[in-house]
Amino acid sequence: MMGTNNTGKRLRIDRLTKTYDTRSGESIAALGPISVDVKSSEFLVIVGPTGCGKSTLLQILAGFLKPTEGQVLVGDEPITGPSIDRSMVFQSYALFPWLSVLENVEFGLQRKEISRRQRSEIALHHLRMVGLQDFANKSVDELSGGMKQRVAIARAFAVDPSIMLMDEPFGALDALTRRLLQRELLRIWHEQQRTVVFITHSVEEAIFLADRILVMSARPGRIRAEWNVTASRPRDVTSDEVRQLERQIYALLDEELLKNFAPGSRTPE
Amino acid sequence: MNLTRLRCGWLLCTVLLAVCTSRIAAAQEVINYGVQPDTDPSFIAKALGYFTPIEKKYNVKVEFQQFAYGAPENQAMAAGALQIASAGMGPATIAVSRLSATLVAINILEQTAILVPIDSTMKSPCELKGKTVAYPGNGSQQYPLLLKALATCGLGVGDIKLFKSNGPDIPILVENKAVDAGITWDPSISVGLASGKVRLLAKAEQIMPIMGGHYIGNGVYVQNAFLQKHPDITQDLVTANVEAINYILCHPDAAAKLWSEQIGIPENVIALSMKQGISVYSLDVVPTKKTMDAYAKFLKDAEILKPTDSPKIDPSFATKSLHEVKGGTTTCAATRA
Amino acid sequence: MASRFAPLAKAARALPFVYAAIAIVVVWQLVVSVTKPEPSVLPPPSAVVIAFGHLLRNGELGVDTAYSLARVVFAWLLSAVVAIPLGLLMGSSQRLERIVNPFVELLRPISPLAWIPMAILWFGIGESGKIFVVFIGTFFPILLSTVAGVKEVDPVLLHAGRVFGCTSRATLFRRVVVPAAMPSVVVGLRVAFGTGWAAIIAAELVAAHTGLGYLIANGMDVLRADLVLVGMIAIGVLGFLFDAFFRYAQRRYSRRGR
Repeated sequence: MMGTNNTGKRLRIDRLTKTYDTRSGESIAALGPISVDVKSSEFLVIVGPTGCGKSTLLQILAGFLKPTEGQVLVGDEPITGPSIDRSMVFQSYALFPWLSVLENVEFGLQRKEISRRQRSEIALHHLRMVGLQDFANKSVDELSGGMKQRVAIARAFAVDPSIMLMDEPFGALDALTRRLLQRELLRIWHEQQRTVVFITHSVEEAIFLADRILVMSARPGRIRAEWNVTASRPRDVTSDEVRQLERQIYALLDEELLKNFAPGSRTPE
Repeated sequence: MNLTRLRCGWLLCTVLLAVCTSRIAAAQEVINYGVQPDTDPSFIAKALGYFTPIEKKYNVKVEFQQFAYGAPENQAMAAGALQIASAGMGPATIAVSRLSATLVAINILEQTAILVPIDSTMKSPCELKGKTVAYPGNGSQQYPLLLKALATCGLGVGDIKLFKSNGPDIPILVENKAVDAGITWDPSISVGLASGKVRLLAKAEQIMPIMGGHYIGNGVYVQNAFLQKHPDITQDLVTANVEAINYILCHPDAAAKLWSEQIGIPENVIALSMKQGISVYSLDVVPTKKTMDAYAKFLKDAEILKPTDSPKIDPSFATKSLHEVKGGTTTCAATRA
Repeated sequence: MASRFAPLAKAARALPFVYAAIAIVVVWQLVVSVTKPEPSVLPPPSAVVIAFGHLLRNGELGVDTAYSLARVVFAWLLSAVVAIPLGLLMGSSQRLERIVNPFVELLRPISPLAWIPMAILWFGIGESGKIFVVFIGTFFPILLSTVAGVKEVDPVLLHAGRVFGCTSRATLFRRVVVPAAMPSVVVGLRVAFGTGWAAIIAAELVAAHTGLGYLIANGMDVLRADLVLVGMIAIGVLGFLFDAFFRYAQRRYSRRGR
């Protein structure tokens, strides 16, 4: 259709750190140093305890924040700011309430090279991908949470990005909807083969979705451990293999969580 | 022992005295007398103490209530807060047509004129066609006169641009040429004339002389309930007004001084008003049916009064006062007929 | 199927107001019949109806309503034209806000009614004085709700905007900030119209020869309480209708997206 990317790009995080200066003049290390090499078309999931900086990491990857040290490279180019090539799905959906469903999906397609008719065609195609083509002219507030997130996913994919960033996208949804959307996401990802960086605090979700799982430590967030998940999809969350992996990851997370409460650790601010 | 008893006696007496006087004070009726800050004979009557014998005789207290213009004065009377009021004939006629009140005297004549800037080329109201005219509102004594002035020239209210304003502001508007002409009441007229920046376009008597060759200016009217209960007090109040007018006619300069103290207008302005005949006084304050019918007809034509409105008048009090005062001490003739 | 009952449902929503109006008239008539006040002070409902018919027939009511309405609409539009752009800029720029805010906070508490004497002094007898007074009354609500609308834009929408193609601040402003702030702006416009309507009546009470406020003032001057009541009822009904219209427009605006 558009003839741009056919697969995702490679994403390299190179010795990234993020430090904040507090009002009292101290420096708090929030993140890093982190180095990750995300392969093209890989589905990477990052799990970590609250406050470990995983959202900060995603914000840096999106281009909203600049790292204090290190850089992020897409392909071989360092990133400079937000880009349509690094599309994003937010936990709170972030749909534009003054636009219809179709117009929301079209939002990222406003470019000189794309005619109005092409825009609607592309947007409608992606709505069909998430099964919401009948809701194209509805207003956003008529949709349930799960449907909103599907529109957000359609919007994120419609711009044909090489990288998809997802910040706990299913966190606000109930368990059943979450299962449904996990499957849908996997299906679309299989089709489109983009690179996905997915943040969650649900270990089960991580194992269900990921090619590779990274566990982050408590602040300052660093990569604590890494697992490749090779089981074929769709994965049976009740299988022994999965259960064992779960146990291992939980054990690590528990350790890290305790660090948040241990005396002598930096109190998160 | 005796001293204590004496002290107790004193205490008892003081208490009794206090109770007695308070009871007397409570029994004393207050007569709320509405007035406006103009050259009203009521002020002269008050300054010269003509109300004191009335207060003593009937055990009442006459209290003046000041109003900026007629409409709030009438609202106060409608609410029962005034027993007697002195106001322009416009508001007075409206009150005695619409409220339970009766007109008992017309105590100032003229009191209205049309003003133009000093350098205006207009010579008569007929030239007001198409011009802006400031006036104090439809309920004023000035509005019917303005309509009559226009009617005599074959003009209607649609031929001029009216602008409603406060009476005292109108000479200032004319002076500043914010309007082409203005019609308002005295003493604002005289204040304007005294500034030297405005002049008269027409006097009221040139337009509508309906009482002794003059336009009617100010009237005194009484709440009906009060009138029925105290016709005697009403009579004495009217007579006090006529006596005050006698003083004004006999001692115009002294009267100007007294007014100046009471209403705050400079003495020379008031003297000018009387000399130029802007405000005219006569012992004959009788509101005759002939005069009132002529006035009421005009108000009805101007749709200020409804066709069914009928102003209530009682000329008997003023007639009696005229007789009394004329038959009494030296009277002075009016300066103008 | 639903459309057949829709008009009925709409009429049903108006019923509480009809009940209230009837109740008011009944109590009013009772008070008049029992206390027998002066007709110049409190006329019976019938007298007001007659006066209403008279004013309607001779066109006075129409003219007065048109004048009051025209003054409010003009001043309100003028306010919108100045306040909305200013508010959008102030909401986006902290520096601008810090400069303009002290003026706003000092002038805003002065009720438009308090400006009336000054307005007459400065602008004289024409329409500009009254327009000025209404402007004062409508400007601040529109400005403040526009600023609030901009500042309250969900930051995640701004993130989304930047990700999905708004590369410059100007584009982000145009495509995300302004539409996101619009509901708040519309609320401000509605509120402003209400205060403007109140302000014009007050201004006309003092310095006008036409308009519904003048109708009331004139009625007071000539002790025609029936005229006063006609004016009051007209003002109340019109104010209510405007507000209802604005609420309806608000709902339509937000529902259809655009």
